[in-house]
Amino acid sequence: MRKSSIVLISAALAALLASPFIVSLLSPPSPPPRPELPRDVKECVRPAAQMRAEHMVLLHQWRDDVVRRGDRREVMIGGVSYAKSLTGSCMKCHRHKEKFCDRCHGALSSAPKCWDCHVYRKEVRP
Amino acid sequence: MKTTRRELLKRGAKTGLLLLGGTALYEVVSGSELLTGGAPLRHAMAVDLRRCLQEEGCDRCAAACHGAHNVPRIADELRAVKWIWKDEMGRIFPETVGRIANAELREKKTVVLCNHCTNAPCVRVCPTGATFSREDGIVMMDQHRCIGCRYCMAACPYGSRSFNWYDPRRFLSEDAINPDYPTRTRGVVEKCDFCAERLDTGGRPLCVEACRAGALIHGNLNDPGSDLRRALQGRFALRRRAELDTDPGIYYLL
Ligand code: HEC
Ligand code: HEC
Ligand code: HEC
Repeated sequence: MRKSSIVLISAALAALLASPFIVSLLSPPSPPPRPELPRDVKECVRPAAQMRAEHMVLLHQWRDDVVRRGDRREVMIGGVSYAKSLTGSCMKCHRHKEKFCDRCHGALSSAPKCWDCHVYRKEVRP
Repeated sequence: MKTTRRELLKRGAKTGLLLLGGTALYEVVSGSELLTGGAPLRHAMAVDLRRCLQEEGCDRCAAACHGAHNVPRIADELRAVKWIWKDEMGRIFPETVGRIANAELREKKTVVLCNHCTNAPCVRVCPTGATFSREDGIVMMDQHRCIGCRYCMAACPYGSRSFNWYDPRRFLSEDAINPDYPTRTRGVVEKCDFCAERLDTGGRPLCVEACRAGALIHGNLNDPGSDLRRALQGRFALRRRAELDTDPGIYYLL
């Protein structure tokens, strides 16, 4: 009696602990985030694969160029000149933050604080 | 070794000499006798008091600056954020104007802003390198590194820095925000950056452009042919708390 109840309780406990893993093994994998790509332009600052992996490094490079080195020379993307700026270039092509940056970051639970200061244009002019 | 009375006196005399030979207690700059040399470019500014003091109640420089840089308008004087503003002559120059001038001049107002010191105390105390001196004389702030410790505010002899007690966006109406310049957040310190974003792309500081009296003159202090040096030529100027040896870059033309 006493022994069997101990076995039962530990089995229930083990099942409870394992349940999240079992559920996630059984359910279909969550779809990868689908950021909406710009249609009117073809090229990004760097090739798409590199942007996916390293856009935060590029942003930090631009930030340090502009703020710490005073180097505000523009960059050429697909023959058009763009400022090294979060709002002044990234968001000129990737116009909808919600449908682009936020879709990936949301899926990753990553929330960069940039927008506490950098003004997302839609916030200003809807 | 025991210090004898004689040695102590000798040492005391040397210290006294050092004080005399070091920085003067009050400084008046003669524009015609400015040294040249040092860095090829040293951004600096002159405030022509003859012109500025006459424009009573004018705040075009501050309005232009604060509008473009998304500086919030906070009524509480103790928690307000300012980059450039007006203050009384007697308070700006307490050791000269404040002591010897008549009440009329003491109470007249002129502009104050970051002095962009060569030996900036705020830069020395900043633990993260968020505030740093650029080669061209601008004391720049990197908001990304500011942790809001406020050492810089304690160190600045001019009170040129403001702390964000509140989220500044609460005090900025949505349609008045300039989207081309970031706002700040609660908990960071900010100040005038001499319009680095404009100087770096060949422009002039906004306050200089907004001044209709022509009282603000910006230029390269180390170039004898610059607008600034021409304005300083043949006149005397004061700098704030020059005895502290911070080498401020804002000259008040008498
Ligand atoms: C000139 C317009 C333009 C600018 C400026 C621009 N992008 Fe892009 N970006 C694109 C285009 C077009 C693509 C899709 C490229 C492709 O699929 O080959 C893209 C792709 C990307 C991707 C990969 C998305 C994916 O799922 O494949 C990321 C991440 C990205 N951009 C981030 C940024 C960031 C961050 C900035 C600012 C530093 C920026 N972009 C600036 C046009 C631009
Ligand atoms: C293709 C998906 C994708 C898109 C689109 C995307 N990001 Fe990211 N982003 C990521 C990933 C993945 C990380 C790494 C997250 C982490 O390590 O927490 C990241 C991280 C970042 C970081 C660093 C986070 C931090 O906490 O410091 C910044 C900044 C950033 N992204 C900015 C942007 C901006 C701005 C855009 C829109 C222009 C954007 N990203 C669009 C996937 C994306
Ligand atoms: C506390 C406010 C604040 C935060 C948070 C912040 N920035 Fe900035 N950022 C600024 C200011 C102020 C400038 C200077 C703008 C200038 O001088 O033109 C700037 C400039 C930049 C620049 C270069 C110029 C421009 O307009 O874009 C980049 C790139 C940049 N920041 C990226 C980022 C990224 C990426 C993040 C998030 C990981 C971020 N910043 C978070 C305040 C902030």
